[in-house]
Amino acid sequence: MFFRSGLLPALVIGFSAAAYGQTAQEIIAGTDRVRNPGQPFHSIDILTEYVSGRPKAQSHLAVYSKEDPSTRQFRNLIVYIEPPRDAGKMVLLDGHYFWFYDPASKASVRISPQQRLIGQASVADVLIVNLAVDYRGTLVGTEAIQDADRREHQCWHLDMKAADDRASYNRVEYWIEKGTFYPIKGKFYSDSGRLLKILYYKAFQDRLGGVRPTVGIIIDAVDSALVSTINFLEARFQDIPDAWFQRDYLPRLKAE
Amino acid sequence: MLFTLAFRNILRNRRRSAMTRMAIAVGTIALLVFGAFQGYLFDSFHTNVVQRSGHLTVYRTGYFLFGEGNPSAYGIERYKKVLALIGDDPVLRPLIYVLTPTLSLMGIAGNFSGENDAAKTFIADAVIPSDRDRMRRWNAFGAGRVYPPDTNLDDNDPMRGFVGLGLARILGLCRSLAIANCPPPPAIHREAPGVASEDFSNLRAEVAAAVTPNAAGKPRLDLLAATETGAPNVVSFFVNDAEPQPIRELDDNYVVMHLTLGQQLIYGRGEPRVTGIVLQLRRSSDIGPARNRLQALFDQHGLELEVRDFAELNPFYTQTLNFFRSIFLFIAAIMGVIVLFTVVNTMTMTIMERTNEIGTTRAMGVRRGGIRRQFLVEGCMLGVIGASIGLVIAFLVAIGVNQAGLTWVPPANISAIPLRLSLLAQPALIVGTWVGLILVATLAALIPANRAARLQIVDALRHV
Repeated sequence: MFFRSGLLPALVIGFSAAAYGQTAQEIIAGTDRVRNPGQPFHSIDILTEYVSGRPKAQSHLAVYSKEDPSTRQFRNLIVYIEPPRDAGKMVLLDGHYFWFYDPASKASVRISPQQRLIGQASVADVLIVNLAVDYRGTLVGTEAIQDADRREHQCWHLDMKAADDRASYNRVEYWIEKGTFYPIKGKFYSDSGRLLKILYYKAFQDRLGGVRPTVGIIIDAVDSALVSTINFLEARFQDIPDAWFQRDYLPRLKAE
Repeated sequence: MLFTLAFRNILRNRRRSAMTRMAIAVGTIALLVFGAFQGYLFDSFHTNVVQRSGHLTVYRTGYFLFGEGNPSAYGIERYKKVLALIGDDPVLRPLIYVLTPTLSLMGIAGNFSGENDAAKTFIADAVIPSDRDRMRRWNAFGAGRVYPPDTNLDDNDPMRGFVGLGLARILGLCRSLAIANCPPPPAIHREAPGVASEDFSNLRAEVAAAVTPNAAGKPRLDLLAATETGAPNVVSFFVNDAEPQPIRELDDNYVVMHLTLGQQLIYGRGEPRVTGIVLQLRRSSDIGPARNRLQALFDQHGLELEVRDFAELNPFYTQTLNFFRSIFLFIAAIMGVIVLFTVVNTMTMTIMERTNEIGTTRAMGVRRGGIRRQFLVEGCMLGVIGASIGLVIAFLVAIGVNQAGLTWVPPANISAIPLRLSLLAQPALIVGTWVGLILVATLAALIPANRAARLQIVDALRHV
C-alpha cells in the first residue's frame, strides 16, 4: 500500500540523475519510481495512530499491490494480521473504490466517500494518491526543507493541481529531493483550500530493487492531535492473481 | 301556540328541565372549547411548519425518495435559472412570499481546538439567512409564535451558523457558548498496549499555525464532507449559537449554515448546486394552483424537477392533525350519547307524569301526530335553550382564556406559545355543534313522543 502511487509514464526514457533542467512532470515521474517498484509485490506494514503523541491503535497489515494495466492505477488488497479482533478482515482499494470485507459475516461492503473522512481509511487516501495520473504539476523552485527528523534537504517544490474530478485532493504540494528524487514531504489541500494532511517520508533503505522510504508520517491538519505512522517492515516481489482484486473473490481468498 | 305550550310544559318541572338543559349546555361547552382549541392548534402547527419548510419545495426528480442517501448527487443544476423562471412567472409571482434555495447535506463536524477532540456526524440545512428570517415571520393566521430574528446570521458572513443544543454539547461547546445545564464531555483515553509514545509536536506545529483564528470569540468547528466526486473536503464554521431542537435526533445532529458555505463544502471545485427550492406562499390556500403552475412550467421547459408540499415533507403534521381529529370525534360521540340519554330520560318521565293529560287531550280530539309533535317540540326546545346557554358560556370561557394569557408547548415545539381559543374564527364549528346537539335532543324525544302518541285513550285516562 505504501508504494502504490501514481504510475510513471514510460516517457521518462531519457531520464538522467542530473539535478538540473528537469520539468515538473519528469520530477514526478522520478519520484514515482522511488515510491513504486513497477511490479506486483507483497509487503507487511504497521499502521499506528497517535493522539497527542500517545498511541491509540496499532494494526499489522499484509498488503498486496498490483498495477491495473488498463487504467495504470495500482490496486491494493489489505489483509489485517493484528490486532486479533481484526485479523482476517480485508480492504480492497481498487482505483477510487473501497471495499471492506469481514470474514465473520462473509460480506463485503462498499465504503462510501463519506465514511472515509476520518480514521484509517482517510490515511490510505493520502498514501495511494496518484500523482502522475491524477495531478498536473508545476515546478515552483528549489528550497531547503526539513524532513521529519529535522534534517535539511535541497528539494524541488512542486505545486500540483487536480487533473480531473476523480482526484481526491484539489491541490497537492510536494517536496522532492534534488538528485535522488526522494519524496520528502507532501501537503494535501481540500477543495475549499484548507490544508487536510501533511505527509513525511523518511528512513530511505534498500528495498525491492531500489532505495525507497520505509516510514511515512501523516499529520492530520484538521484534527492536529492526530498523527498516523506507517512502517514498511518487509517486502518481496510476488505475482498476484488478478482475481484477488475482485470483490466477489474475497470470501474465497486465502492469502499466504 | 305549539311553542308557547311547549315552553310552559318545560317550566312545569323546573329542576328536571334545568338538569337536562345543563347536560346539553355542558356538551356544547366541551365541544366548542375543545374545537376552538383544536382549531387554534391546527393554525399554530400549520404556521410552525410553513415557517420552517415553506409550502412547496422543488426537488430534482427522485431526490424526495432516494436523495437523502446522497444529497450531492441530486443537486439542481443551474438552479439560479430555475429560481428566475419561478420568480418571474406572472402567475406565481403574486402568490409567493419567499422563494429561496436550500441545500441539505451531511458530514462530520469536529471540534479539535485545544483540549477538545470530538467529532460527530451532522445533518445540515444550508440556507440564505435573510430568506430564512423572512420565512419565520410568516403569520397568515396570527396564530404562530412570532420568531425573534435569527441568531445574528448575516448574508454577508458565510462562515457563521448555529447548531442544535445536543450537538453543541457532544462537541464540547458548552463553555464557549455559555450554555446552562450543559456538562463538558468526559475524557476517554484508550491506548494501544505495548506501543511507545512518540512526540510529533514539532511536526504538528506547522499545522497549528495554519488554522484560522477565532472570529469574534465564537467557537470554530471543522466541517468535513465528501464532495460529489468523493474527495474529502473541510471548511471552517463559526458557531454563533446553539438552538434547542424539538426532536432529540435533530438536536444531536442539526447544523444551520450559510448556503455559500454548504456549497463550498459539497460541490468544492464543481458547479455549486442546491438540493431544493422552497416556495413560501402568501396564503396556504394557493398551494394547489401554485403546484399545478410549477409542474406546468417544468414540463414546458423540460426540467427534471418535482414539487412536494409541506404535508408530504412533514408526515408528523398530518399525523398530529388526525390524532386531534380523532380525539374531537371521541369527545363529540360521548357528548352526543350523554345528551341523548338525558333527553330520553327526561321525556320518558314527563310522559309518565302526563299520561292522564295525554288521554284528556286525545279525548278532546287531538290526533296522534299532534301529541308526537308536542313532545318533539319540547325536546327540541330543551336542546335549543341548552345549546344556546352552552354557546354563551363557551364564548365567556374563550374570552376568559384569551385574557388570562396562558401559554403551552405544542408537540414538536421547543418554546411555549400563547394559548388562545379562536372561537369566532370557526363559524362551522359553532353552527355544527349547536345544530348537532339540538338534532340529538329532538331525535332523543322521538322515541318517548312516539310511545305517548300510541297510548290508548281509555288506558291513558285511567292511568294513575
